[in-house]
Amino acid sequence: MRRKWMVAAAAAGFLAMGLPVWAHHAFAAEFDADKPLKLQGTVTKWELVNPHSWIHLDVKGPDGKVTEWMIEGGSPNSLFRLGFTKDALPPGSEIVVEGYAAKDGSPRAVGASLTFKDGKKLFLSSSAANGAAPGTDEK
Amino acid sequence: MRQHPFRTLVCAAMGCAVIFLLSAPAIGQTPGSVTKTAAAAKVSENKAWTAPHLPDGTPDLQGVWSNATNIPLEKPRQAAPARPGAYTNRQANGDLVLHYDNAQFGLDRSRNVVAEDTREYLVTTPDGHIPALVPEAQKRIAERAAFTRDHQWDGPETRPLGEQCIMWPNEGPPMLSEGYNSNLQIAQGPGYVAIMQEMIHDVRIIPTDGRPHIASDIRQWFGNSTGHWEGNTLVVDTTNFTDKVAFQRASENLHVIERITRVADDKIQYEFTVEDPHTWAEPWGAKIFWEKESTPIYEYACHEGNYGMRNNLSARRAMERKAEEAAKKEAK
Repeated sequence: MRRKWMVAAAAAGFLAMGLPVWAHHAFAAEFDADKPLKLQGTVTKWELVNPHSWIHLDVKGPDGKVTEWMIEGGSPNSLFRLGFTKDALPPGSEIVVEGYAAKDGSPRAVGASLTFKDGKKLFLSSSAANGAAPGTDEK
Repeated sequence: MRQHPFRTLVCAAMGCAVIFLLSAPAIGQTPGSVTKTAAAAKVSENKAWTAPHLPDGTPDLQGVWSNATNIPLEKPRQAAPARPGAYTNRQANGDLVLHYDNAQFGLDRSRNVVAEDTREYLVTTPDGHIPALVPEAQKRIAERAAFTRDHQWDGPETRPLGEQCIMWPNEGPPMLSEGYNSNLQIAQGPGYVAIMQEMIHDVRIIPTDGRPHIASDIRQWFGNSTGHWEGNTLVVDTTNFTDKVAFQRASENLHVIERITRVADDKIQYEFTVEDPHTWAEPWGAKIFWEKESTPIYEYACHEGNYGMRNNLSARRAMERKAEEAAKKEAK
């Protein structure tokens, strides 16, 4: 009986999240709105996995110590349809992440805004706005 | 066909993930309350167009389709723009939204339009709303909500089905836009129609050979579907749901009828009605248009990369530890 209710609760939980369901889980459960952060670092890996892609980023602290952060992003299926592949964010890329830190204190965050060092937004090329295949004319 | 990136983006992008619905009387019959009030969708009909058929004579629905839409399922309860405006990842005060930039990840809902469909909501009820819940349903939902409140963080088993990567809330039936990656593929063989949804890769196998539903004591995540053809329309009747899915808060007695009709080379009209006397006093339904998708279905392997489950629970445990420590300090 308890098992049955657990699943029912899980189903109800989905509804309780309200609409629209933007993502696969509740962001506020994982990330802390009171912990905004801005990180600049070097991409070491980009995990193109569902339900969320994760960018691994080496960030050097004021003391020179390097910490590897993991930054949560959107579904790779959507990005692939936009024309972006792993080549869009190769290891060694330097990016700036504005987002929110994980609630459990680990070096993880959600990337609310992702830009290259020159300010250009990640995954948004000018060609996308012009109707050409995005990601094809800019490296 | 979506031929340039904007169009592709439109179908990859998300709609409000509305969850819902339906009801149904005898097989293939649409309740009068639905047919009488079908909302006028301004999708043009090409009278000269002839529906394609397969060699066995059945209508050809095959292909990859997008059911993305930003049209709300029902009429908004409060005065609000029916469709979202241009996306911004900044709030009015300039703060970032607690989320990644939807435009960056192809999730910008404001772009998610179905060509020519200018309706303000999808349901076909007279007042534009889903019928009110009957008292029995209100009680059931309140009990579930209480359990959720007390136990939702117990462990992975009490997290939402989508977070567990078991099934997506809009997979249905009835099938509604998932919000993002809202694509599905139809394949047909003699006596069967298969529908695979990208989110999250489940396939509905629908026999069209006239067989009856399975025994009523067998309950399934997606119910039990049987289909038949009425002219160019595939009619699918689904019963045998479990009490674990709760489409639009329905009970396991949910009965769904879907009517799937190709109305152009690049368009399918999808109508459904739902009935469940244990949830709503009367049946209701909606009409949605699917557009041909130019990309294939991509794998959505959810469980393997599901860091979110671990992160959510570890966040909760960290908060609990913090609260315990604070309580101890207070006690001293």
